[in-house]
Amino acid sequence: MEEESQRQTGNRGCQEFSASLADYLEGENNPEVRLHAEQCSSCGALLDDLELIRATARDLPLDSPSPRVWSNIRSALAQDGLIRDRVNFWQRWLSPVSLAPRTAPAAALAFALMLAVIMVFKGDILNHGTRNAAVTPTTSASAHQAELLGVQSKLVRTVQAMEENYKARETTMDPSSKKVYKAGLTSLNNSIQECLDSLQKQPHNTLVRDYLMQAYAQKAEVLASALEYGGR
Amino acid sequence: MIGERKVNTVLRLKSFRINNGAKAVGALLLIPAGLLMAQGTGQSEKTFATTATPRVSISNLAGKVMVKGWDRLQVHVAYTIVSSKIGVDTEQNPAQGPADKLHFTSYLINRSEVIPNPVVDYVVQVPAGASLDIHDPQGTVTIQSIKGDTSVDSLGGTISVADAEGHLSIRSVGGNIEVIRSSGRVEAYSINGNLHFVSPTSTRLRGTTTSGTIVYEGDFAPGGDYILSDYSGNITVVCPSSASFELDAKTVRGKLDNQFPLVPRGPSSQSFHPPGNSLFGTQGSGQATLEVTSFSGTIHVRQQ
Repeated sequence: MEEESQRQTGNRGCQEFSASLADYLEGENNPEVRLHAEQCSSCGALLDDLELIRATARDLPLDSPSPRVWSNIRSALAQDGLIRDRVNFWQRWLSPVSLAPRTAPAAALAFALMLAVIMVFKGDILNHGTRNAAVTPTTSASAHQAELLGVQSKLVRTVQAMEENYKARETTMDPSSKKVYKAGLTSLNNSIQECLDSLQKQPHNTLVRDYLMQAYAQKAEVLASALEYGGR
Repeated sequence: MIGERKVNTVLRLKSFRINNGAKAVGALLLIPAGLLMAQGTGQSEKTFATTATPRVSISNLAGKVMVKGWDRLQVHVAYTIVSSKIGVDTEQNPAQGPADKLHFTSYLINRSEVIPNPVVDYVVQVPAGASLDIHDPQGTVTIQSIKGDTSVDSLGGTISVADAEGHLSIRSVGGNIEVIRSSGRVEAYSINGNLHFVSPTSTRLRGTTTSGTIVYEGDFAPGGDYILSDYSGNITVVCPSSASFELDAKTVRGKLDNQFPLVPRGPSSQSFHPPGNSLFGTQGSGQATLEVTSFSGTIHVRQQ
């Protein structure tokens, strides 16, 4: 009876925490939220994650692009049949009408990654749409290299944040799930390393760049999935 | 500012989801809805009257999930729970009358407890027009004869889908994926799993894996668009000699093996490709587009 009573009290605290969280993160002075986070490990982890996400998101390049940029992105994605992919994928993490129980850290980190990917791909998509055939790989080599470095710094930072979160929770994961995630991440880490090595030798090879971007994006997906479902 | 607003939106969305169990999904989402819970080992069966095109979702922990389309306006579900520490929630929406949405959730009764093998096996019949959304981390998923859109994600189990007519979206980390006689759009992604496409009539098909292999067996629909991408595994395309397609095959470190007498042409884009690692050509009148890429695996294009 006493245990049940404590559990119900805990649930009430979690519900109040949940209701107050958004306002708290927007700056409302509510010591109850911090107090509950210190007493409840799952809510505490959540608050830590969200504060980390907010800090990470703040570091992302968030200048508002012109409508033309968004229009080009949309056109390029639609042409490649990617818009539906993205919507479906992100809807899975973010949709408020989802009936399945979800956890915030993976969703929000994945959302931060989406922002990073959009900002990173912006240049590629624009270039793709207005590519000048007269521009040879040689003349654009330095631009490509700079772009590549930019891609790495932004994406790696976000994926790293997810990976740190993953490692912190790895010990609590179901062993069989952990094994599969680990194998997947190993494959992707190998891919990333091989792509980076190849780019050293063939900096203009667009196929390698595509593979590198794909590997980062897949790694983010695997990490997001692990953070969401790894501990069930 | 935009970023903060978006993050805040996420946080607000999240506030609906902070809960300690599958039952507290949020009243907003379930009104009006019926909620049934079952706990304890053994098999349970239920039948629900539905619309012709209900959305059926299954969120499992581990175990087999088999779903088959039938010609009744009913969903019949039989599930077997192997541990008394696992429960199954059933949510129906609307609560009264033919269901438009049905959701089955397997959950740990004590979420903090680690259950070594939390298996629930499902066998489900649904109206052929149903749409499916299945999450089953550890266990095989078998789907047959569904006309609506189908989404499956798994961690390590094999996923097999046959005779799907709607948009098919399949994701797995380590499991193999098999798609047989699909006619709608297909997207299949795995990291370590193999992909196998058999006799598709889909006009849009995309298969991606990192270390698994990809095998495509069948013809291409006129106007179809097929993209197969692998990292270290091999890709084998086996199609009839009468097939009509434009081939765009590229590899970074792998090999190309083509049995078709292609009419050569230039690459389809201005992207840089090192010589010897790409093959661009037309077979027949080139009615379909086939793009095949592998980083270090071998690409085989063979005649049946």
